[in-house]
Amino acid sequence: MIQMPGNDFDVEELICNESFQEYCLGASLEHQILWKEWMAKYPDRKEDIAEAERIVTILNVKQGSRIEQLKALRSGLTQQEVFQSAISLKSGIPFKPDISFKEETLEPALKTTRPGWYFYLGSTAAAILIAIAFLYFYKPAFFEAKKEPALVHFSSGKALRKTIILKDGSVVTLAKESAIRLGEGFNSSNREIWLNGAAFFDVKHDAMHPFVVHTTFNDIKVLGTTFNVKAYADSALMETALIQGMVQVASKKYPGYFVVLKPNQKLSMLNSPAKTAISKPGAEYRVSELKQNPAAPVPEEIAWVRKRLDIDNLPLVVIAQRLQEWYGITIIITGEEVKNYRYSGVFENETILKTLEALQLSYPFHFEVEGDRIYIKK
Amino acid sequence: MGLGEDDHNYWEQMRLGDKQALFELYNRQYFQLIRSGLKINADDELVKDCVNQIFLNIWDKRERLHPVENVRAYLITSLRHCMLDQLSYLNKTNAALSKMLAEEEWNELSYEQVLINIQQDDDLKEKLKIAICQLTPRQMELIQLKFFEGLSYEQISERTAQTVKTAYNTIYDAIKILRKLLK
Repeated sequence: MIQMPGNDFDVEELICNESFQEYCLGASLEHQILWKEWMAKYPDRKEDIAEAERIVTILNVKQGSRIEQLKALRSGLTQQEVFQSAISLKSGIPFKPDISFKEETLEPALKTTRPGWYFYLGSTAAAILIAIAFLYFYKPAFFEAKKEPALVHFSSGKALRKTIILKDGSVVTLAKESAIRLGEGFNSSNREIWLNGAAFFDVKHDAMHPFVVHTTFNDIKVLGTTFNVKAYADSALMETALIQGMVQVASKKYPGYFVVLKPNQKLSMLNSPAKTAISKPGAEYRVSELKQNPAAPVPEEIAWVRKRLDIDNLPLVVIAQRLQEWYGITIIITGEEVKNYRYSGVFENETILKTLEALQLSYPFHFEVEGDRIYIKK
Repeated sequence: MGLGEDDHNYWEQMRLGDKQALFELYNRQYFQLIRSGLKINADDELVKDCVNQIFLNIWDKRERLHPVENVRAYLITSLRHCMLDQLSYLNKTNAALSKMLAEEEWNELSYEQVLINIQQDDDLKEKLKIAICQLTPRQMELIQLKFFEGLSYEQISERTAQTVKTAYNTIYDAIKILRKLLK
């Protein structure tokens, strides 16, 4: 565990703090989230923190930020791929990009223009136009048309809820008319998904491999936490409510802008359709506390997915039926004996996995999870 | 040896089309590459762009790449070529170019030079020059190990044969002086 300084830190101490140096380098997401949260606690020391960061950045000669740069590389690769398939679709022949720098017209003022490697994308302006047009008009189709191996796409359709257990052990519950798509090769070290709609997430903690939820306007990064996201592609309002842990919401519209949420906070973002290029992200993003109503201990944002489950000496087959209806997941029990195991208990605000694990404690059985199905046996 | 071995494996994976291996290589080599790039030309934007550019190039021609003995050396050489191309094309630093072409051995900038060159504000450049002179050679050495090479206090104490506490205090005192002079 990293020792964070208290409010009485002095600036030199902060500069000498190894974890703070890591944060300034942007070397890992965990440091990033920890320190952002720490800073939010001491608004009156804001200037001292900025001073410490300035000195560290002078001394590390602006080597950071690895996270930002990696993100840039990823988006560069994506653009490269989209562009190549655009070209090969249009012309029917494989596109061989020309990688040399020399034939591109570059502004001489390197310092101010930040050439990036985007100019790499094309050797002619026309080609770039085609790529942009393609991105603009065909991007959703491009992703959907992509050949997908089994079970990377889940959608709830008209069902009130649908629960999916992912390979890394995270649990996702989709609300009505919502869908997720798993990233290519989703597994416990590559945890990326795309969401359209509303979903409740209970993410398995893994500091080394952040779990990323892409939505139309924001990317949400988490290390292991419980949160709710509402992001329908056709709606202007996007909401992220955090119940436990920490999440970082990064804006796609304003690269580099992100908000770190603390438990029981909610971030709302109103995406204004007008082309307000100069507008500040602060105007669109708003953080508020979740309303804690003593009569209803479950915040409104997640009431749709959590409820109290009273079980009084019921057989497993009946309990399974209730769980199945509530979580929107198929439960298959094999063996008559198991079906008649009886349980009692009260479950509040638990995910389906936690509920089953609790039942196992009082009378053991085995269960296996496969995407949107759970198999129970003796 | 072990680390080089890993790089080698990631390289082979990447050649087979594993994009994650490319990102692993990137994460492992990022700071090394940035540091060696900055010693050629103290322009962090240029260096960062070139680092990403070489990874984009590698991914693009992965099928035509050969096995590489020393991945880090390969990447550093690619980075140098990339920066050279950029610089010569932009015709920005003729001096740097001719120097680089003329000498087989690369004439690297010292950490102190990089510190000053990277800043664009003349006022800050002057202050840095003065501040560097105020530090003892030992303090300067430790600052470089800590902030440029990114070593931990533990590693610094091993490298310089002193206790972790002494290493920390030396850096702490140096920071105190620097802070006053960089106000």
